[in-house]
Amino acid sequence: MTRPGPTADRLDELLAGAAPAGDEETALLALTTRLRTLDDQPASAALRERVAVIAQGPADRPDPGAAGLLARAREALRFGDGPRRPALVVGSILALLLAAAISVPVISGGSEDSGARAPAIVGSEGDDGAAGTFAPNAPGAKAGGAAESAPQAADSARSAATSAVPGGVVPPSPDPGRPQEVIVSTRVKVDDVDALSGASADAMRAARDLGGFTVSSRFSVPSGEEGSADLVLRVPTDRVEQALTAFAGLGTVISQDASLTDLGEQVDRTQRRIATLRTRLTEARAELAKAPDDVVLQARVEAFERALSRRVAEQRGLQRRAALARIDLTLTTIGPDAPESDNRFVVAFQRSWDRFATVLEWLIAAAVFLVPVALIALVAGWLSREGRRRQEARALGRS
Amino acid sequence: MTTASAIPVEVATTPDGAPSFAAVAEAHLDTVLRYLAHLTQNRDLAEDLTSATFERALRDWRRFDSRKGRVAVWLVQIARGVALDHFRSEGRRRDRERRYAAGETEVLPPPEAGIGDPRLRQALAGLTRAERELIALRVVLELDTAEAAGVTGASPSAVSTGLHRALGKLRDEVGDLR
Repeated sequence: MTRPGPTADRLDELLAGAAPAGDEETALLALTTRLRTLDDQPASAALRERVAVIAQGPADRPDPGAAGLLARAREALRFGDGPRRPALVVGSILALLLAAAISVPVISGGSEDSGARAPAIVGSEGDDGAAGTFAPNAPGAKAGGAAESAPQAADSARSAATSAVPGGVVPPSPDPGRPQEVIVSTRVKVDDVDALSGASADAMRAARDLGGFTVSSRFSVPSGEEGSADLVLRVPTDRVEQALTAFAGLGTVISQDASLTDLGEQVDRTQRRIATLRTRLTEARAELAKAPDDVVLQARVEAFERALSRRVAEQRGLQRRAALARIDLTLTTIGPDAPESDNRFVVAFQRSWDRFATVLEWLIAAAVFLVPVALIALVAGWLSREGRRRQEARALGRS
Repeated sequence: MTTASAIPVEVATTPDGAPSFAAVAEAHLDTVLRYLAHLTQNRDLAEDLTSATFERALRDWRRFDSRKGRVAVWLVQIARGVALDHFRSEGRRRDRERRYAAGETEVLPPPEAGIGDPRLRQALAGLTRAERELIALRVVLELDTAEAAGVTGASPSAVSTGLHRALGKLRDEVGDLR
């Protein structure tokens, strides 16, 4: 049993030179004095000479250099010498393999994703310069207000009927004084399948708000990640620009093909035929009135009436074609990314962002690779340190 | 009571002002030997380990930075590593021999005769190496608590507590030595 004595702190003070107070402290200091004299004999001459030889031997030897360092590293990694060296080497190799196994799928997965985003130009551009055909500047024009809903875009466009469609899309500009048929095919990329149905509903609502209607719609999601919706819409010809503005707001316009056909000649011809038919019908009816029993005259009047009816229907059809433009709208999740803007500041920003994203991607890939290595190294280091401590405690007889 | 440090301070220097390793070895040979003698309780073994300590110290001499601590403490740290390596290899050797000689009773060597009180020597032999090490560092070599903690890798409070316990055990064994 340990007898009561000075505390550990007081013991430190006594060893630092404090004067003893009381018998216990005096006895303790006497013990330390005896301990100092124990084996207080200098090293033997033989040992002194041996150490002198050691100290003089390669004294001030030059730096070992690369070869020396390599030899030391080899010695340090020698199997079977250190307590944990083989385990350390094997663990390091396993850590590298594990990190590679984790990181490779992640990195390659990212590449596949990039590949899927690789531009695959879809849609077609019209023949520039062909009579009555408009071709958009380029596919992939992003609407200014992608977040803006279609009705809101339609409303804003209605208030500025002559404003240009943002993003470089060139809509047909029918001459309001002439009957013209406008057919537009436009392809808009939306973010994902979830956005597809919402964009379809917005497009149909925008057509309705502009005084048009939906002729047909087809919704297709062949896989969980890709899908498309094909809508055939009719909107008043004088509101085509507004409709296209609204549709562009649903996502990214990746292609647009617009054609404008002049119906003026057909309308004029039909009108002339109608007028001629009406004149002949009037003349035939007058002759029939003079000879009501004339079967030939009756047949001629009926033929003129049928012909006139057909021509009038034809004329109404032409008027309908001129009054309502047809828009074939395809909403899809597949398509190229938006092209760079013409704005130099935006272009610089986009390029910087792309570079930053690339660097970030590599950093993440590096982190994915290094984190497992670091974790395993930490655990290995901790285990090694604990092992050393245990060994040391065993060697020193600690409990 | 001894107030002067047990570790010599002055050593010869090279022309550029830095102490030469030979001078350092000469000045601190006894320090290292006393530490190892207390730790091992075997003078011959302590001498062998002292030689090994200076061989290793010479190899690492270029890496010694006097701003980080005294050269004597650095040498004691190396001596401790050498001793631990010896204890480990000795432990493995004993394990092997014990396996081959299962059933035979191991006979530990008695403490060596030497200068000083035999009772105290016997009591010291009854302590663990860790306890003897603390006594060697704090009492014999008169390192302060922080230096002793740096050598052993323990916290200063653990050093103080361990030393207090070790001295208490010694007093219980040998009684009042005044």
